[in-house]
Amino acid sequence: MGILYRKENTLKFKNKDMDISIPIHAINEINCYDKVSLKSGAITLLQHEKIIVNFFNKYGYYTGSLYPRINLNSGMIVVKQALTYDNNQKRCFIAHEMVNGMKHNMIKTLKYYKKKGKNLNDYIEQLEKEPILDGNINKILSSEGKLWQTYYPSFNQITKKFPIQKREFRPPTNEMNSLISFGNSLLYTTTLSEIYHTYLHPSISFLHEPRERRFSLACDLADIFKPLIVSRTIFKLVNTNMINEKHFTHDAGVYLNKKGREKFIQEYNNKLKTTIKHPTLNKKVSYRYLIRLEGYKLIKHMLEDKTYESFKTWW
Amino acid sequence: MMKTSEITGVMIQYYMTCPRELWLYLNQINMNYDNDDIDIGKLIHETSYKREKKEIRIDNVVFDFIQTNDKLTVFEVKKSSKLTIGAKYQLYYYLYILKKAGIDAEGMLVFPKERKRIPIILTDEIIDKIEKILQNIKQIATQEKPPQEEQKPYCKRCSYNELCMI
Ligand code: SF4
Repeated sequence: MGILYRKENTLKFKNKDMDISIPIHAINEINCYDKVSLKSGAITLLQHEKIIVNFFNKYGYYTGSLYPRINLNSGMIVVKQALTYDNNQKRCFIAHEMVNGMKHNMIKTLKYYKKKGKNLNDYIEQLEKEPILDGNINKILSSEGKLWQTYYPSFNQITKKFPIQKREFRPPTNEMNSLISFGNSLLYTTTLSEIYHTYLHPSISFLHEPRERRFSLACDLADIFKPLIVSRTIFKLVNTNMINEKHFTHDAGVYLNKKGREKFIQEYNNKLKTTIKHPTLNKKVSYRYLIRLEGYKLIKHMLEDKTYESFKTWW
Repeated sequence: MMKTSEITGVMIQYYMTCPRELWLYLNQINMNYDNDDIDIGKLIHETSYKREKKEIRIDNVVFDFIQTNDKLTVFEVKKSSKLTIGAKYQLYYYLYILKKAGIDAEGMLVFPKERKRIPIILTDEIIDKIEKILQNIKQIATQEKPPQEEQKPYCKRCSYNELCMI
């Protein structure tokens, strides 16, 4: 529980224990996991500094964002984005390529753990032969669903505890499902921030339906990065016992408690900061930045500058 | 179709350094929103030539000038001489606009950091070149697609670098 307020040009946060300054130029976004009130001065400052504020409910579920005014505005790109969505063939091309990247990244993640001695051959084989249908968006979406269905049970080979049979959403009835849900909602907000720094409109998506309540383009891009960022964060947390039974509460479902969320966020942020040498940019980029680059690639595709190829772990 | 009066000095500069950069700029795709280069330029501008500075505006072009004897000299202050070709043509363009308005002027590119000045004189040959450039800029403005990128040394410092190389 606390208040975000503005004092001159500084953003401050206070609650009953503390009153601190938030270094607004050093942050990407603000995530609120508890009740936070924003004073109007703080809102003006956040809008001006183009910082997104995301809100989560007491279970760690994303509930919405305070999204600053669109800062980078190119009418032409929004028009092209909408036209691409509206053309079945063009939309399917992008959606299919996104699922293709996702599949590749799932397999790569499992292969990484296979090298560490985990028995994953069956899952890898199954994923490899799972076709990605094409032609209309529903076929692509059903292929996507099947891939996740195959992928998630493989976690049982990788993690020492918290078994998962299938993915459950609201509410998650076991620990692993709640970890996945929490991680996915974090990645969603990170992706939203990165999209904000491109010219793309966050509501016009290709794989997901733009009709969804959320900024669906963030769902599209987040999917590609889930195996690399969310899954691997979970494996680390569970296998090193950083997160264990005592970090969950059993309510109307199973949820991470405050301490558990803190641990998760810390490890997640470390993951985002991990850097990797980029083959064409010729420099090191962070995992977080890879998401923004994905946005750039979509822009280039829509400008007919370069055909879109989704992110596929190359290392 | 773009009108000649809509062409700014910045567009000339971009055209000379990279037509792709110009296209992106013309389509309002700007990448240097968190790059403070522009502000630094402004700062140099504001602090270096306080006493001599006066501004004129013709159409949408703003520049500094100084009257020496009976000749008008247009000054353009730049941060570094590395990008001279674009800056040079930007200044040629200003002189060209002045000439069209019946004013004969000379130019002076100034690099305060390097204590360097380069005089710029508009010849008939350059006038032809400028007119060609203006045509080309209008043509690029009508293109549906951005011109392909070309690796050049300048790319490293260009704000579109990541967009181009990804
Ligand atoms: S990076 Fe190079 S090719 Fe791209 S716009 Fe800049 S100068 Fe042109």
